[in-house]
Amino acid sequence: MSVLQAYGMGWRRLWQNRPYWGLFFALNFGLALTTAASLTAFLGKNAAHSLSISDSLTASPYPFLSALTSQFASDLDFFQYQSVGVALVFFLLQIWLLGGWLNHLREEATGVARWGFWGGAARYFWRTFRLAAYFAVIQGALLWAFVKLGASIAKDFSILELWSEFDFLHALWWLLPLYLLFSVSISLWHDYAKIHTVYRDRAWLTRPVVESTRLCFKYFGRFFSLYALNLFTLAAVCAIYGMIANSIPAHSMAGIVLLFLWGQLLLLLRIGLKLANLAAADYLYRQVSDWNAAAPTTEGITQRYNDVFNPKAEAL
Amino acid sequence: MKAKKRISVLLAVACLLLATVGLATGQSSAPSPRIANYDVEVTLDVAEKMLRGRSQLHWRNTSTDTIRRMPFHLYYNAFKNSQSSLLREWYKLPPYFSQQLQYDGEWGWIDLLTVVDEGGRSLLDQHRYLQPDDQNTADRTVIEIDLAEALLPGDSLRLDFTWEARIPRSMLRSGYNKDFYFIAQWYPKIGVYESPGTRYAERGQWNCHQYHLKGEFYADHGIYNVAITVPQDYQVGATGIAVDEQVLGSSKVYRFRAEDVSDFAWTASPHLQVQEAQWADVRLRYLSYPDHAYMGERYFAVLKYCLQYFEDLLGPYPYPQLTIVEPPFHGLFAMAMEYPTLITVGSFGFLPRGIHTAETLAAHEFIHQYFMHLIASNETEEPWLDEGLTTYFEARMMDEYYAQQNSAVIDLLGVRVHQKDLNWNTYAHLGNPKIAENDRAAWEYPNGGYEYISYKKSGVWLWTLEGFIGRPSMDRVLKTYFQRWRFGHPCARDFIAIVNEVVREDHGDRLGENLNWYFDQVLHTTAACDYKVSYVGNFLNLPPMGKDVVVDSSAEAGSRYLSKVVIQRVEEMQLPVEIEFTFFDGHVERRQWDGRARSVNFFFSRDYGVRSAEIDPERKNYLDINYLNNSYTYVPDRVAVRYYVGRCMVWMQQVLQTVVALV
Ligand SMILES: [Zn+2]
Repeated sequence: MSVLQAYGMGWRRLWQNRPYWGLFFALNFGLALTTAASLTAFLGKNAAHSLSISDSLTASPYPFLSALTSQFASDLDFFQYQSVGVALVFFLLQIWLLGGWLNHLREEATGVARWGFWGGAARYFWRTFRLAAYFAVIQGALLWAFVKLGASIAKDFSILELWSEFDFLHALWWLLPLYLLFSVSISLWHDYAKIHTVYRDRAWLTRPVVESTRLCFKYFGRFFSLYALNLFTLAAVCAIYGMIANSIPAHSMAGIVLLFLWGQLLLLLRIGLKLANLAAADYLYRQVSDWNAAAPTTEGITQRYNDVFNPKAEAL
Repeated sequence: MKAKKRISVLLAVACLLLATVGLATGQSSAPSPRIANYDVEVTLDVAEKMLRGRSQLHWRNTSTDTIRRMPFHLYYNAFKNSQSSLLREWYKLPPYFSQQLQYDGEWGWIDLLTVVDEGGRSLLDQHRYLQPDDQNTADRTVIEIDLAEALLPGDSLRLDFTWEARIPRSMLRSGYNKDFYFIAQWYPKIGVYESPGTRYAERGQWNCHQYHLKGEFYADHGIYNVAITVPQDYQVGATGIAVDEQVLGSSKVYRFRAEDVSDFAWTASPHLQVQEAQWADVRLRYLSYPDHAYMGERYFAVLKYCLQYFEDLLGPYPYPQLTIVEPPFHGLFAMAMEYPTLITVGSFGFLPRGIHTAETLAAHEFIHQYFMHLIASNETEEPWLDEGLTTYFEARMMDEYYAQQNSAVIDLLGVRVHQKDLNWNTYAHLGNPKIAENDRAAWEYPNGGYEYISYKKSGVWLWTLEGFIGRPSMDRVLKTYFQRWRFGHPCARDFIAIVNEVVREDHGDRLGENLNWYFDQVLHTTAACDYKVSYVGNFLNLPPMGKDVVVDSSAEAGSRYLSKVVIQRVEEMQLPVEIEFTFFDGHVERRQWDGRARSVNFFFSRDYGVRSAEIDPERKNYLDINYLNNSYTYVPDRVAVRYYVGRCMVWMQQVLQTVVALV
């Protein structure tokens, strides 16, 4: 029951804090807009005066796209580099904002005000960054292990060795779900490590990681159920998006705007899902952990706050 | 059931006898000249990976020359050592090929043990290896044998061969892997004697090229009776039809007969399963491993369509059977090949129905039944005559086939691609469209040029030819070419002669005295084609002004706008160009240009300016390598730009949001 409660609570708290939802969306939108701006200039200069771009909306776009990508290959390289740069900036900003979101959730739920959203963002940036790096390495190692496993089943796709591609394809039936199970479990562990770090507020990450690992093992069923529920929501959202997006005719300005807005709605939901998932995890975390006993006391916090920001407070 | 089988064996034997009598008397009602005929007995030794064979060649001298020497292909010697021309041309072998040759010693070869004529004289004492193409003396793929007695015009001869061949492992087109065998180009095969006037021959001459990496076939048609002995549990598929099966101890003998074919290939494995279907008088036989049995109905459907298409357009498929072999993954070396009445196809597990590449491949290999098996052009010397025509038909037939189902060759997840566009893109963008002339011999194409030019460019200029002369004339060209050259050996000159003949009848002088100007450019040069609308301008038509203006009182009142459009020829090729001008009031005008100058200006004086200019509005000219600059609109299409920007932006946002799964 607490899983469903947590799921509902996640969305409720997201709705209560919708300005932050908007903030996350604005970040995504704004950064993507930078690539869109240069693409507009590129197409405006090189393709907008050709009837082939108009024809590509009503007939197969392949002749236009294949001609465009080959005639302007070097310009398209620029978009690639730009996209990688934008993704990197987005990655860092996202780490920064997520620290703020977690701290805000914590403060709101416990009633203990500390640094607020922006203060939390600054305070936890380095720690969430390191966590992201560690867990990226773990995810990478997992992927590498599964690719190796798949390749060994497929005998490196050697025409000499592999009997049938079905030997590999049939193995995917268990390989893929198993990989997803592990990968999702690591993401889940990562999320609770972040939450635990924020609640414990320790400079070193070793203990929060170890403690959150213990927590994840102990309450794996509940944590995973919540994750599965969120993943199912994501799959449903994407499926509905795909079905409707494919039926929107894009020949007119109205259709194009509708398609774009529909895409934005999907993004809004995806971003909301990520934030609601953290809010729900935060709720579940408080249900199962001794956060209250272990959390620094109000006096302790006030003391430390004064140490840092208001050294004269003691004299008052 | 037993009685039925006995009757069929008797019938087969009767057919055999009749055919032999026919052969001996040079029966004139046979569809092909039946020059090179073979009786072969071969045993597959699966333990040693050897073929042990005896073959009998019955050859007719249909020329007016006396024959004293005969060249034979010994194709398997291309895999004998690293010095063969084929392996030298394959300068960078894929690892799965080089590994087995270098480390596992899996070479393949063929050794002639005896060659004896009808008088019992051994001919092997007088032999030499020939290297007519590259003077690589280490190449052993062509052997020439002196006859003990000269063969006079109109006479026939019989030669008896015994030979053994080591089957290469997973090699080019032919070989074995695990217990899958695909045996092609495997027996001593005679070259083609070209009498004066045949193709480019001015004097009588043998045509027998070495075995190269690219280009495989050129042979005379004849009758093949082949007995194949394999282990008892092996299933065999082959050229022609099976006339008998006989179990002998632990072995099984399959007897096949093929009439009026130019080659014979076969496959054997204990895992092959057979599915059958019928189209008119033709039996379709699909051989695959059990895990690919599901592809059978997909191949049958498209091949029935192809059979009907060619029957309607060119003439009937003249054989009683078409065998389709889908090699297993470990037999992929045999995939995508064409042999008389037998084709090899290929697909990868769970191929979605929206991707029709397997069907396209099957159609491609089937088209070769007509272009280079029935019409036996020289693939080694003029590969475009079969690969180009096959590429032309592949796109034409597939786009029409899937258009009937309101689809495209790829129709998956909103992506739709037509075969014609796919082939055009490969020619125009993925390779170098100017890498080589289109008239080169197969082994003379440099760096991938064989695929880009002899397949794709030829396909592209054949559609363009169709664009210029129209579909009805094109169909007449193809039908005439087929009917005139069925079971013959045409060359490019013969094809061009038919085009000129038909175009003259259908179009008079409209396209010039003949179309040699077209073939000279597309076949014999590396020229590419690119026409460009480089400028569209509209100006207010102001009255004459300034000092000493001469006013022409008789001139009509000026229109509101003067418009100027500039068309440029960017590349070397010169083709007639049609340009469509659309004005802001919706008025449309078309103009012709001979396309020879580097640029041409078009002026208009109308009350409305030019909104757009488009070269080749019906896209008849597929040779144009830059499709983007074929048109220019005065007002840019911002709606389309916004569509693509919007799609890309949402896509970018999705990527960004996916990246943060790691945060
Ligand atoms: Zn081909």
